[in-house]
Amino acid sequence: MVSGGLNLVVKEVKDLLRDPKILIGMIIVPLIMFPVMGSAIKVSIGTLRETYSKSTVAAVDFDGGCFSSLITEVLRKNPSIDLVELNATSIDDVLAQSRGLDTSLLIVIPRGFSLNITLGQHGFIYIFSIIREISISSIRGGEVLGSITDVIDKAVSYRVISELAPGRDPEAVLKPVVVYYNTMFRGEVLNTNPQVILGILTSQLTTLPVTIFIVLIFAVQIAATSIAIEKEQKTLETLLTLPVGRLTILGSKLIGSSIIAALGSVSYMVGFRYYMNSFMEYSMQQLDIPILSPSLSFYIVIGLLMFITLVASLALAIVIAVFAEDVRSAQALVGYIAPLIIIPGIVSMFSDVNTLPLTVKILIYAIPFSYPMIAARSGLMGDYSIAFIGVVYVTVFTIAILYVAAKLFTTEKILTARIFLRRGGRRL
Amino acid sequence: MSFAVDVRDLVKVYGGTIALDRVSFNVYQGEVFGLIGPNGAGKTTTLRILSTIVKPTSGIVRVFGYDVVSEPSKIREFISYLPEEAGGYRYLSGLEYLRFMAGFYARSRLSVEEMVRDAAEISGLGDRLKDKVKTYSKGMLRRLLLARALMVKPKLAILDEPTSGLDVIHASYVRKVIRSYAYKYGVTVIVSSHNMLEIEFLCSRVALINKGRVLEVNEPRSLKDKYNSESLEEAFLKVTMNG
Repeated sequence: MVSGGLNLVVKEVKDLLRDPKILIGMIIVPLIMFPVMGSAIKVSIGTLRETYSKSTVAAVDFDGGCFSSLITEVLRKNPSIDLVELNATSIDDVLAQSRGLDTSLLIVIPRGFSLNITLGQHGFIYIFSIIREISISSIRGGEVLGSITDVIDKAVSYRVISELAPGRDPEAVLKPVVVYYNTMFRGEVLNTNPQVILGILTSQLTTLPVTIFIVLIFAVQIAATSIAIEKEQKTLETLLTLPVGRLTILGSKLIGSSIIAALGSVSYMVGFRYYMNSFMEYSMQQLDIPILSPSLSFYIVIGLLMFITLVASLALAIVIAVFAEDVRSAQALVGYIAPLIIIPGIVSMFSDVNTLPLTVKILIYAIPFSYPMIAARSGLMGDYSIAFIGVVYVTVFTIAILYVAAKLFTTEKILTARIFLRRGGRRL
Repeated sequence: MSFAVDVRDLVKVYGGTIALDRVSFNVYQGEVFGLIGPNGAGKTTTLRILSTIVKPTSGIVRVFGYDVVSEPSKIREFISYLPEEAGGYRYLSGLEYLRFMAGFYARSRLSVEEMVRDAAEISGLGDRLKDKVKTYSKGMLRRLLLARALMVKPKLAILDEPTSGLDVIHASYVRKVIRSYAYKYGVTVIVSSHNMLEIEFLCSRVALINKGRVLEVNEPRSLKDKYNSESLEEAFLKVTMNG
């Protein structure tokens, strides 16, 4: 006899994968949607960079002194600035002229600027930012403003230092202290700013729970569909009379759903990664710090916990879907599980569960789906205690749910539960 | 003589509703046996119990000597069940569906293909078997499912309303296939229907069932003679009125 289990798994994967609702909704759309969104953002940022690669800045010098000339000279020589020098008699005249210009910045150097600096006092300049629209480009305009003030400040400071202390390195006077950043992480010293390390860790702490809860959400939906579709297509009755064990049928549903869920998750994550990389080019830095990559033991422990949790979620979805009449009602029913997955996911993304109030902490730890997400977070720091507790807790939960699922599959309830629902709203 | 099916004092209660009330009948090996009665009479419940997907509340049900409660997996090896409202996997082609089903009975790839060839002949669907099941009409789907049920050459074929909802052409095709197949391979068949003409055409003996109780078991001709009726339908009405 051809292997009944394999036969069922192959059918399961084929039938689910060919269903447009699953193929398009769960596999193709994420694969296309995220890259399209990412590309759109990339194009916008690209256009923005192009636009601001040479910003037009208008300037007027009412001072005519050595320091104001220095500023106009520095701005004129700056390759990223297209300087428009205005001749005006008053501020009002400058503002009137600027209305006809395509510029977002107007620099006004008043009389007395150079004199003030020469006397050791503050020199004042006026910068007018012209906001023409509310968009990312306006925010980018703010960045240009920041870099221009830096350029002006640096040029004037260097000139002042050179005049006051000839022969001294203006850079050393301006920044007499140079800090070499080191960070101790997992007992290892890294020659890196802690901000960079924390940035990478935060990115991992955000990405991991998102990945895990997406896998779990996919899995429950697929598993529920795999049962409900048998009812909707009226194939379940025939399936139950075939010479194949009921537990084999259950097992094949679990395996088939896992395969589709894995495909959906891979598609989602590939799309999501492309999307993130579209505007987070710094993420490439992560590759240069091996210790920040999860270790082999992390993958083994969290992988095991994830696998057990996945089986638990699949079995729970199957148990729930047994009571549904069709795919739509099955997905509506398993929708009630979603908060149990999403809430721990969000909590572990933005906070440490142990810092939460006791009641909330107990509630989060009572949810079996919390463990892979919480354990992944602590596992990144090399602490696997939550993972081991999770393996035990989720295994017990999984066994209990599998027992219920097996009971439903080995009795007529898998058929009659729906009948009772129809007739009188009674369940089991 | 050993029976293919032996049902004694079968009772089935769903919740508080008695679906079958002390049902008893026997089916001989190689016989085409009919269960006739109106909707809700208990035909489908009886067939579901014989198919091992529903358990009896009480009574004895044996299929080729095996008990449906204690040895259901043995029974599933040699029965084939066609439910009344059966469907196919919409996104598989007819051929893929048949290969999938044959995979549970065949001992080798070769015998899978043999079964599929038989099914193609029984269904008469030709090249349409290459198309996805979702493109089939109701009649085509029923022919595919009947072919699936018969291709495995079961010892007992359990067919619940095999022509339900079919047009005259498809219904006639299905009836002819059942009769010729049972005759050719000596397969025992239990067929349920509320179509008395169909049962008369197919069955050597019938059980008249109403409100969960078997009222009569006999040959169609004997029933007609006993109740002095022109047709089985008339006999059935007289029996139910008496019962």
